[in-house]
Amino acid sequence: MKKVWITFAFLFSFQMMTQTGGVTFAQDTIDIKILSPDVVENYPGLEATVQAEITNLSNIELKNAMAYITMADIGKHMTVNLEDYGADVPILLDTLQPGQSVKVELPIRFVYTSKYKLYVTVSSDDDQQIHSSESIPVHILGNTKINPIFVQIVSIAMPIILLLLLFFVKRRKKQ
Amino acid sequence: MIAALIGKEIKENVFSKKSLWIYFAVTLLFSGLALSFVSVKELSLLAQVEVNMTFMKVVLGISILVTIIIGSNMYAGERERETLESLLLSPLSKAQITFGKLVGLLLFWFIISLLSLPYFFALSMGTDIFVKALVFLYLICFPLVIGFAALSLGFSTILSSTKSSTLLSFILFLVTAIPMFLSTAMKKSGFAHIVDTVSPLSRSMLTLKDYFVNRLGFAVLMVDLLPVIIFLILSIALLLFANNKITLKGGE
Repeated sequence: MKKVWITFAFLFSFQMMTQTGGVTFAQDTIDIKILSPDVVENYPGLEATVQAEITNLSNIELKNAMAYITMADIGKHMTVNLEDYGADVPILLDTLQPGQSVKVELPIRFVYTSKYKLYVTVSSDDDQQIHSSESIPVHILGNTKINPIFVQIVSIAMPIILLLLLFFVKRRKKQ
Repeated sequence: MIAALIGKEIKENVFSKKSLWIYFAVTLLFSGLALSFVSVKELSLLAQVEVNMTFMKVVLGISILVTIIIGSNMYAGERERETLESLLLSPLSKAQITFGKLVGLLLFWFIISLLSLPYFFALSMGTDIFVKALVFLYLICFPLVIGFAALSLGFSTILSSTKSSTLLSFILFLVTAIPMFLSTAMKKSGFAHIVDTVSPLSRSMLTLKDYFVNRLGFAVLMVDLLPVIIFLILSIALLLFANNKITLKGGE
């Protein structure tokens, strides 16, 4: 009977050990909320400002925090090069005191036609975890009225006209 | 007499066989770019205004490059071919000769700009961008092109060889184009920031954006263009200074 209790005690302590040593979920130290816009649906060329509120939920100050926009193209399943969108420069928040909230305004210019998820990301020197807000849907509608056939005709005809002119000049000089 | 000189410059630089080959090469480049706007998926997703802005940048870049190459050859070339003396012995004043050469150079640019119009027409179809492109090309690009033409012509007058004047004009063009090769972050600090603020090329790009996309008013566009106007004045001043330096060596 004693052996049974010892075995039970061993198994119980083992169970406890595996529970504490298992996967732990890091607590969010920074809360990010996108205040505006809620949704973007417009044509390419639209310049917008994403307003976000960043709160330090931890009890330590976070140094050199910076906030930036991230966008994922859900049509192509890839992240975008934010330099094209003029949104590659992060906003430096310096030090975030415990409980402090700051509002940031991140400019962006939507260039390419597609559907995206846009979110604000914050990172700090004192925190290995990267924090992101919930995403907002962005739909950039196609508005081009370019007629590809007409562009092709012009693109083919122009060099041909110049080439014919060159042959004409060459022939005239020979005569 | 000055009309005859302008005629000679047009014959030599605007409608010569060499020039026709240059026009052909330019149209090939324009065609390649225009076709890529409708065939390359990434580029076909661009907004129509963005397409026209990119095309305008290429037109401007090519116009300036070709202008400085031809301009650098104008006086230095005459010197190398030993025809400058006979030109100076003509009844025309030095200022008139320089003016004639400048007109010939600007006519060359004008033809390149005319070649770009069918492309602009095709790429701006269904919008008011074509009119804007015309305004930008002939009112805003024009001072910039005159500036670079005067600069290259000035160098061509001062320096003895075509190579040297072309190289110097080309280096200056590249310096003004530095901000175009840098990222947004790099342009915001240090030397790149200074160049970006004063570069006539960079400022004309800003004007392009403010005019096409931001649709800003005349006053803002004028502020954007201020470095371009200063550049134009300085280039003409250099050309006038160089013009006074032309001397008739005389025979031995």
